Amino acid sequence: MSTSSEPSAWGLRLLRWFCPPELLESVEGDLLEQFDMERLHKGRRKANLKFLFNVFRFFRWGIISRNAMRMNFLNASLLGNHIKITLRNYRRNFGYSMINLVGLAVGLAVCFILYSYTRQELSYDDFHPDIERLYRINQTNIWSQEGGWFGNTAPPLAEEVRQQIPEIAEATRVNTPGPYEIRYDREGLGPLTFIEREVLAADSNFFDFFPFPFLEGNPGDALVGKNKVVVTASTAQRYFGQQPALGKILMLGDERTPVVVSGVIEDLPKNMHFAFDFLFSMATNPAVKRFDWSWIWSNIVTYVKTAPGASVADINAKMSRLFNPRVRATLDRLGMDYDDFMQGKGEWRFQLQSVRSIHLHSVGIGNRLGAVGDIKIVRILQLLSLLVLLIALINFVNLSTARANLRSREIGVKKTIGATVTNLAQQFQTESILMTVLAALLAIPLVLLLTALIERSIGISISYGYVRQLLPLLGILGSVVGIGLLAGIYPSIYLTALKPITVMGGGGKRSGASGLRNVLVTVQFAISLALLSGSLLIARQLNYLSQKNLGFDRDNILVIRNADKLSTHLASFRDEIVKLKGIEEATVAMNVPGRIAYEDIFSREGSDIKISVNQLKVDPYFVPTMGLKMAAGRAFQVNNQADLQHVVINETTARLFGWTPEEALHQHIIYPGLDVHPEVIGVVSDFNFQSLYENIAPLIFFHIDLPIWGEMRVVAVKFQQDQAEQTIAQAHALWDRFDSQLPFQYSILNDELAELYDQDKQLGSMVRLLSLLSIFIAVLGLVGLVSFTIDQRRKEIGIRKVLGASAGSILYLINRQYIRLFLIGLIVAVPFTWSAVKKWLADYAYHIEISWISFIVAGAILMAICLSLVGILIRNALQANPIDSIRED
Amino acid sequence: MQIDQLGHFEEQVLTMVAILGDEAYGNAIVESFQDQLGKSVNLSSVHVTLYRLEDKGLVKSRMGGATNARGGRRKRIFTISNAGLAALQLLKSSREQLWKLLPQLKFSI
Repeated sequence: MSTSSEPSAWGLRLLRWFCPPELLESVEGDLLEQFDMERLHKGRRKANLKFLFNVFRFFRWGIISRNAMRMNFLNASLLGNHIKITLRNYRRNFGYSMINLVGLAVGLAVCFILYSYTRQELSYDDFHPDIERLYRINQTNIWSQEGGWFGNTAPPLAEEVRQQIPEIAEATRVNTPGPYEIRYDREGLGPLTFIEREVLAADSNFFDFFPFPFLEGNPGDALVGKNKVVVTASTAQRYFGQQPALGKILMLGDERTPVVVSGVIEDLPKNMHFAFDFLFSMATNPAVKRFDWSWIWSNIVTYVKTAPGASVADINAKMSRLFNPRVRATLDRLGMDYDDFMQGKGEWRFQLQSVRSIHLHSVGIGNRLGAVGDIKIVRILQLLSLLVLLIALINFVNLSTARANLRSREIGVKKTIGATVTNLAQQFQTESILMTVLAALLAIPLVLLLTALIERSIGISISYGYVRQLLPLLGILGSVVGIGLLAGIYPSIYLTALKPITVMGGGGKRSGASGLRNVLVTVQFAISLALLSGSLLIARQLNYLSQKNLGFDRDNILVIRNADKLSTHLASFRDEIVKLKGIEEATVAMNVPGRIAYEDIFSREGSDIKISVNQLKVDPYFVPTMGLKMAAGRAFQVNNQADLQHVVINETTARLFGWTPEEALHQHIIYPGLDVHPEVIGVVSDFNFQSLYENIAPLIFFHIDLPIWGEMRVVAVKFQQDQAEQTIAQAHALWDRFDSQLPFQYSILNDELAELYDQDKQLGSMVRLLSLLSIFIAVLGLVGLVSFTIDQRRKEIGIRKVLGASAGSILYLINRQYIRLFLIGLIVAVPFTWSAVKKWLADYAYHIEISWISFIVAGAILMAICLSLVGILIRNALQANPIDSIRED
Repeated sequence: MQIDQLGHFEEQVLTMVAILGDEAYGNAIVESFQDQLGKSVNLSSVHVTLYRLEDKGLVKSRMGGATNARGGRRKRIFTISNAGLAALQLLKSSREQLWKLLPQLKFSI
């Protein structure tokens, strides 16, 4: 038999890797013998396959477990000894151990909380079947001057993609019919009425895309036809209690349109980009049918499911090419010119966005169906949590190496009696892993505490349900051990390298690690300072947002919603409410600043300038109630019927039409929805009617009684300082006198404006919390290091005192090096924070300038904390009688 | 030696070791399974079983001499120990004892 040919080399390598050496030769021999036989009979290729297969068959417990003696490098009896010594060490150095323990526990808790939060954010929409083939169609944002993308599309799109693009398997549409007053006439109990905001309408194939489990009814026909609605279980409970909901009739809106409940689904998961209590059939909203020709009625969200293997880029290109004639046709029908309309917005294009990415990647694109998050914030929080953990790990490394001298005798003795470097390294690794595990246990109550705090004061709720699954749980436990190992690496390398001869000889001080220690302390200072100055800057911006002069009087304004429900009584409601005590003025308008976004295209007589302008219908009291200033002309007048033909524009509109405020007066505006060309009678000074993320946009006021679009009404009431409670109570009483059936819904304008910045406020609070925690951990570490230094230099301090040194000079002596490190840390932190905060501020059209002061304040705060703590520590050393410390030996 | 602790496959491998005498090693046992019982077994199962039998003290092993075949790798030769022989005998006698207690059935063929 020939021996020249050998089977696959990596098969042999694999075998050598797992097979115990004492068995290897005979096993290999047997396998080779079989291989040779096979090769003779069946050829080389087959023999090789068979050989590999047989090698794999040897990868079994009966073989691998015979490695046990070799794999069990961590001798069980030694492990017991390691743990014993570890615990003794903890007890002897109780203070230091506590510093490590608490620091690590806080670090781990922060990491875990933010990991869970991130996981929750990233889990949005990942559970829909075929999620990798689900997309939303976005289109060019035709309503913005600058173009860009947005997630809203028009009614005909879904049918068109279904027919014209074979790569798209299915398409469905969702529409937002808006808040409805929904009424249920209970037999013998009178009607039950709620104003419902979580209301959507969808095509009948919606449940093919998002198959939520049905409790009653069936998904196939629940949304087929007119006047049908699917409700969630808790909504059904709210209206019908325990009774079955299927087939019950609800009354919709003022018209009391009867709608039949055609299905009940389980309550929806929270981690989705949309939410609803009511899902109407699309045909229930007549507007959608009415606009089925229009490509600019962008009140629809279109979802598609692509065919398996379809290319997104191809579909994008096809959509943009095929539908361009359609959008042109729509514009033609409206008498608009495509090039004019798209000026500055680029071509009118379409693209797919994966449904999974909607939640975190829709900044700018938006989501018609609910709030979205921001991947940037998720990434920032991930980074910050790692930094906090890093600070805690640095404490561990620094305290272990700084205290190496105390362990050096132990190490020397162990080495002399034959402990290997591996043994010693195991000892130190055991210490660090055990410390981390203890810290993880301590972190559990911390997590609960911090989660409650975050939920209460920041408004972010975090769920930990996932840890009940095996894999994440193992991951977390693994990470804890991994972090322990990581923390122990440097100390164990450093400590095991100590030479017995130097350390046993009463050895001189070793300072090898102090260089690294200084670097690490600097890193800690830098991180803490970056976080602290960052949170100060964010706080300044948030404060600026709430203080900035918006050009109108935002204080003391009560907004009563759904006022259109009072219909003909609305005017007298306003007149009554003004008469109440403590009320200065009241106005009826379509909306209030902060919520205005009804854009349309306007032009003017005598020019072909076309601009998109926000429109608002207001009554004559709007300008005084809001404290607006007129730049030229006048506002609407009470009882002036002619004002129905007049408009008021803001300065920006005038400027874009090429007028000064004075020139604008008596000019005529052209609006496609109006036959007459209304005359400008006034120009209102610019005010921030949108959030401060935006520059002031063009705005036009129409008279409230003008019978064009916009049924919605609010009443805004200006009340006297400190009269909020009383005003709300009085207004509520008055409202009930007008219509006790309708729910009274109100808000305070200033609160509502503040809500515009909720997401950034949350970010600010998170950064502040993290900066406090990081400072806490870093200061703990500093206390440990300094008190150790003082311990070491007790004798020196004593001698200096005897020789007449002042307390101040000794304080300086100890602090000198830390102050230096602190300043270096500050220098490192500044550019990092500066650029990060600058990026964040860029989202705002109105923002503060970053100034040095924040950094100086942050530095001063942290420095004061550190110095005062160190001062307390040193005081004890200073007060001690020098005799005691000097004669110790 | 508790005979209960000897599985069926173990018993078969042990018997093969006894049959093959000085020629009992992994592949030889696989082959004699094929020849004697017409049964195809995997080499790794045989190896694992042999090691287990060795742990139980029923077989002994030594390395054979080097040859040119097998890529120069030596064979591990297994021989049955006295305890192994005793175990086989015990198994056989206990089985026969039980067999005798069986009611004498007439098999109709």
